[in-house]
Amino acid sequence: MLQRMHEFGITSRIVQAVLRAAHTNRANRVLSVNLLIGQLTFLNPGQVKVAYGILTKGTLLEGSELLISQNPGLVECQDCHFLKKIEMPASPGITGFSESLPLLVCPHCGGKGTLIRGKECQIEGMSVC
Amino acid sequence: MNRITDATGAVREVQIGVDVLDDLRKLAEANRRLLDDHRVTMIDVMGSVGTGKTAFIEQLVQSLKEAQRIVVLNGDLATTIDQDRILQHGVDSIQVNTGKECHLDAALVRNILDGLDLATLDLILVENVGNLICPADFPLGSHRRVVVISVTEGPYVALKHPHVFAEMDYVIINKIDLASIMGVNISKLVQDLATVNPHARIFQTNCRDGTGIPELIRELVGVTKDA
Repeated sequence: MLQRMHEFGITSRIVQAVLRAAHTNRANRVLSVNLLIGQLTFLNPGQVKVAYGILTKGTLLEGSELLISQNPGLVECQDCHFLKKIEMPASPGITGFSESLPLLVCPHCGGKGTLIRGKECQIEGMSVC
Repeated sequence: MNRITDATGAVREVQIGVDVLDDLRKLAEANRRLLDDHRVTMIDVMGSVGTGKTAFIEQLVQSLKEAQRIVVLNGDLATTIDQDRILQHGVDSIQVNTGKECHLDAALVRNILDGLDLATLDLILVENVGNLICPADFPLGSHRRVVVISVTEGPYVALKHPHVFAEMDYVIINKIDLASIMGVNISKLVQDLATVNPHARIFQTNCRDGTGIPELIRELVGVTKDA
């Protein structure tokens, strides 16, 4: 069983949502699923894929490919409306997160920023037959 | 991958457009509306294992139990240790054991809310699972999100965990009586927190002897009740 259960719970929701859509669309099989993950979530794409492989066993989704794309974060300054992109490496590594992230301070005017993108876990679509 | 089609069907692309995290956020908003309808305030308390979340909640309970009808939800992987501590104050507590799950989520909290008589309550204090990472992704519908950190976690916690602090309304720096022993410069820690999230209100406490608690309660609960 997976030791890290954070992705397991969310992936279980993903699988349920895809299964519902597959039934609605009278799919015989699901071949692939496109998922968009925001980089400011705590979802690790590799872990989501592992959980997906386990959770889809014995369903219409068994053997389907989970295609994950990642969305960088975006912070908008409430004062000057400066947009700051928060980009992270696709997968964590030795050099990946070596700098701290002053997430909500505007680099332009020092104002307060609000997260407007990067918290997604969006099932965009699927290929079925 | 090999695309295998059956005899009747060609490959079709189907749009889904469902965001599972957003669904949970919407469920959290529904929880919030339910609480608002019953004029119940909910406060979500997060933080690593051992920072003083339970001690903080005990302080709140002790100060507020005469004036408010309170229930505490204690989230933990296992045991009823925290619940037992709360029950000693004569306040209701519900132990939520998540087994392996590293956080509470809005769906789980909704199940609990549905089992409570909200008309008989004023305040719900949620002690999230001890974890400085995952709970930040899962709003519950609370009116205030609070993280308790402590000087025994060292001086760099704000910079090392920027994401959780970016989500918080309140940051409580606990165990300030141990700052000099631990060699932690609290003003530097406050400065780091302000860099990560200038919106959050920062309080300094010693939840064992109650230092800093009255000011905190005035803002945390006083403001909420008047809102």
